[in-house]
Amino acid sequence: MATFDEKGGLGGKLGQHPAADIPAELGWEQMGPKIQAALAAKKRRRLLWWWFPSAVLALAVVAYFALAAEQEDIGSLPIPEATAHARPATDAAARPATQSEAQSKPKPEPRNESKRSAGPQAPMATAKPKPLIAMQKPVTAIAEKLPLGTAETALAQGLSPSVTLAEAPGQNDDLQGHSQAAWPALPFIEPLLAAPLPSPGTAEWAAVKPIDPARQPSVWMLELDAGRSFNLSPMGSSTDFPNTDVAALSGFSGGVRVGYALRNTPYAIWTGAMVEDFVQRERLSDAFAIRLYQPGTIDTIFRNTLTGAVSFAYTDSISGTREVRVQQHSSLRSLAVPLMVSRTWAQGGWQLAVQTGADLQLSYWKKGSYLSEGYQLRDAPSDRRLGLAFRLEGQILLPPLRFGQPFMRAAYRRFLHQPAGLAPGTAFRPESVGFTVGWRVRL
Amino acid sequence: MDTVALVKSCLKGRAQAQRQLYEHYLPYVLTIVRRFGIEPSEQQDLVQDVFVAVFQGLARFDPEKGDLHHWLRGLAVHKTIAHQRKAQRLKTETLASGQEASASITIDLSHFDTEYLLKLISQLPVGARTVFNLYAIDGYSHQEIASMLNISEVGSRSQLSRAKKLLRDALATQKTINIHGNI
Repeated sequence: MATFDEKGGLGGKLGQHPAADIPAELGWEQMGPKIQAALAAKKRRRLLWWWFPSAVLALAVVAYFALAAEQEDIGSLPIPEATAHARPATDAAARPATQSEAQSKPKPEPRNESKRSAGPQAPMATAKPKPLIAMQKPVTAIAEKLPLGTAETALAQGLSPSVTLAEAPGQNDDLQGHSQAAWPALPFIEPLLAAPLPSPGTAEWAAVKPIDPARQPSVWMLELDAGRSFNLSPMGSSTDFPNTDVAALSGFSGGVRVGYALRNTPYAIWTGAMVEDFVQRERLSDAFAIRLYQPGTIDTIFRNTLTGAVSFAYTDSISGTREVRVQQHSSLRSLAVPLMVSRTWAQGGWQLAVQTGADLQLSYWKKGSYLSEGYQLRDAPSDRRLGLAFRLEGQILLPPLRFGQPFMRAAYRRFLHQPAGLAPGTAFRPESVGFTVGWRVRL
Repeated sequence: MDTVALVKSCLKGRAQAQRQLYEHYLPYVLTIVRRFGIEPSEQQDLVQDVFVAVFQGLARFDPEKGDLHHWLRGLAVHKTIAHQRKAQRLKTETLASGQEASASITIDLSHFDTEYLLKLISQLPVGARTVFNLYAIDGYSHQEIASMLNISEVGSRSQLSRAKKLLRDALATQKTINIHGNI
């Protein structure tokens, strides 16, 4: 019994029922190209989503190594040999070899009598190691404060030259005086954990790196460029009209930009105004069935199955064909204000720059017309949209000339919104690539 | 028709196999789309979405877990619900405010014309129609329906009662005319 009072009670009767009347527009001839175009678009979109994180990852790796390299430059400076040896030599043998020896020696009379008379609250020298005050100070800074020859002794014992200075009365006086009287203060100089270090005799100066042209003093820059852009729309043929050819959406691309190169870094910030003007050419060439007006035409033949009598129905139309050729142009124009960050590498006067960022996009379709179902030509109203776009660019700058620097640029831009207009919303791919040439001037 | 071979051919991207699958299952998909009350002007887009999802998801179809028809039917139902939600036709307040119907006797619909019943169902209000379709035809429980439509189970039961009441009224009218079957 088929009843709607039970869960799935009508499943057998209505759930398995195929529709008898299939509209002509749902035939495979009409739907097949659309479905295949949509599948291809989704496939490309999946590939894009692979590409995007890959690009971000690559940029992150480049940025990491770039920053890590800069930190290494600072941290790997060895002890300048001249600093350690320029001062008068001291008798290293006369000094206590270890901390315990130093502690066993009688403590010297504090020079600062005022602190001694200040009572028990005044900071006093003690043989016990105090909590570390400064950890791992750069060895060059410590060497300047140490009594003469201390750094050499510590290094000869295989200790790290990074030492800690404990608070001790009169210590600073001794250090500044470069006097042998400072030696009793050694118990307060606590070596940190030993670490392998090159001996002072073999310590080398840091290699002087050539000035990187990409790292320049902060400077303003102006760029002008122009070229051609191509929309990555998948419509080789219209998804709506099987016999319609849609040419690639391509056109002019250009703009002006202002950049600010950050001081002593290869990074710069850019903004400006850019224009893209795409033109789409759509051609339809088709022969399709229509009904032409023709009086007195036999439309249907009726036969009486009992008597065998035949009768005719007459109408005033007959079937025919009509050739249609339509060509139309429409355009998509976008004005963009980008905000980007660039990174530059330089080699032999040539520069390679990668820049990425976001655009504030004002895009609009210029009023045109399109073919609707039934091959009716309809107007497409202008559509303006404000939105954001993602932008990634690579740029090669030639060696500087007298009045500036020529460059070539390849750019990828993706709308983060969907511009609507001539193309069906799902068929239009909001991405474009552009190739431009231009000129950069330092202000 | 060998379903497994057809699916394999479709997965290889063969247009002829895609066409065969499309033409075989289109009538069933169209029935689903119609009984959920999708307007004829939107049917084309929805059918396209359904079959794009079908061809894209065929790799996930496991013949051992059920037949292709059942799998495709579930996918079509979900796509149709998503389409209606996108068009903001399934609003919570509409779905949750069904009116309770009084208890009545069970009706045997075996002898009613299928097309006539589908037409009646498609004319129900959107909330009642959706819940009725999911419960009485597609066999989802009220818990599943509540989850799919983001409503409460009580709301789902209420809408079902409302749909049944409206259908009984419509069928009672036809009983007097007696052209589509007997209650």
